[in-house]
Amino acid sequence: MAAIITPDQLIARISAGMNKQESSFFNPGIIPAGPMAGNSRGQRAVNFRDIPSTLETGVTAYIPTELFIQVTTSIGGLVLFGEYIDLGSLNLSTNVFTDGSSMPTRTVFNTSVPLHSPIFVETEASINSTPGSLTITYVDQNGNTAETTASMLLSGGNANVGQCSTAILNTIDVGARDITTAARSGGTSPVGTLRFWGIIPIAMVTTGNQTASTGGSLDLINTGIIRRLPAGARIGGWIQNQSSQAFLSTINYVGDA
Amino acid sequence: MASPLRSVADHMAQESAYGDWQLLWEHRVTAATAANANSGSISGTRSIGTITVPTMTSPVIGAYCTSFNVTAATTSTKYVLADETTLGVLTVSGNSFSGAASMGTGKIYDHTLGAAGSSQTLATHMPMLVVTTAFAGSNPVVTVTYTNQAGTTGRTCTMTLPTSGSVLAINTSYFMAPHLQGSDTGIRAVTGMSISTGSAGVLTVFGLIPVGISEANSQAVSTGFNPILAPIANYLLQGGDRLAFYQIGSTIAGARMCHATFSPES
Repeated sequence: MAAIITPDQLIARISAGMNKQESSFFNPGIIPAGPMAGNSRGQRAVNFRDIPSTLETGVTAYIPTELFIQVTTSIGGLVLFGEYIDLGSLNLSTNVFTDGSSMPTRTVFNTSVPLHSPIFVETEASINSTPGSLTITYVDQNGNTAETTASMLLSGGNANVGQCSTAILNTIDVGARDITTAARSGGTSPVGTLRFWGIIPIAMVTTGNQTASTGGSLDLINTGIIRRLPAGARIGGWIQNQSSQAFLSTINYVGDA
Repeated sequence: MASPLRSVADHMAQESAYGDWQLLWEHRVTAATAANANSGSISGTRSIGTITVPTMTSPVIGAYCTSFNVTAATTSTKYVLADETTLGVLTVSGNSFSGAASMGTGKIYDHTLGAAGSSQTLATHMPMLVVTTAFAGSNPVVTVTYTNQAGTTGRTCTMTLPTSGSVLAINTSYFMAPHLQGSDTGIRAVTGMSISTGSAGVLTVFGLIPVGISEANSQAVSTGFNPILAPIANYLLQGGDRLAFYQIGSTIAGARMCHATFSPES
């Protein structure tokens, strides 16, 4: 059977039981400060299970059809749901960078295109009070190598895993295809681990703003967002705000034929 | 011919056959100098950096923006993602104009055809005067000579820019539309620019065709606008087109995360 290309085919797949739902409850319980002082900050809001590395019989990809998000405070925002690409990690103590993947190449407009993304820097292991500064060397959106960020001061005493900052790339650069290396400079007996992510977006969902709690949902197919997620894809969510809150989210999938 | 805007089924088929483009972009805007009634009234800031629309391979002939969302940090702020064309450049030192250009031609989605319409001569109804290198001087009067939306040449737009401390911050953007001559509504081409005073800086006229609009509500939460759902004049982007991001109604610096989806027409 060919890939799903009509709403009727979508419904037929659901009728045949080729659909599933994943949920995520994530309660970081902290006010995010981000691992880099002065950079855009946010936190991980969603952790869905990865798309299976071996897909079910008769399924070639997962098509997300709906997203739901509920947050526990009145501070609203947009949650960015996306496919997380592991670009690598940096151990601040040993100053060793462990390389990960590059942003993948996908078919865009009938052309094979290497994707790019902002670099999300996440606290993977708690950072101590004197961590130093961070520089990242990357390949930019146009494929130019040896692009190096300015030195970015790390936030001392950042004990909370899951907080994110976005790296400030060189002027006029808008994304990275790959991280070549990352390094810590300075600091006093620095401790901590940073994980670098690229994100291929699925959608942003508005959580709204109400007095008790806020939530939102998004019908992807009917609002112009059609994605086919490959086997092994890591799906998560990020919110750019500064509130202590918990997140409950759900994603509905239909298995592509 | 098949268009992703004709129906959900057509969008699914186009995505399956040729692939949508998912763009995630953190826009960084620097602090701008506020506008006043003599300079477009509404403050604006152009983001650092632009994006190039990827190459398209036949039978793909163009792409539309089908969704657009931006994280908001301030209230009462709008964000515009636009196809941007450089129409003219003024180097303040020496009062030197260069780079005269026109909006060229392009296609708009025709809802009766269910596909892109015929190629037409374009005019921008959102021309922006942008400080592309910081300006030094006091309250300069800028005159832009242009061809209007109907093709009439020799029209003029005059604006007085409000400096702050004898400086106009880089990336500050001013709406030209309120200051076009007579009943003009747009610009096809810029043929000249001049300035009354100033010792340094570069001013550029950009012609914008908005492809995505998002706004922050009173709680500073962004409400996205999905072009695929609205009966607007969806512009058909081409490979190599330049996309720029503008923050409207605020001069505050910061970073905004933007997600846009673009879907192919064949």
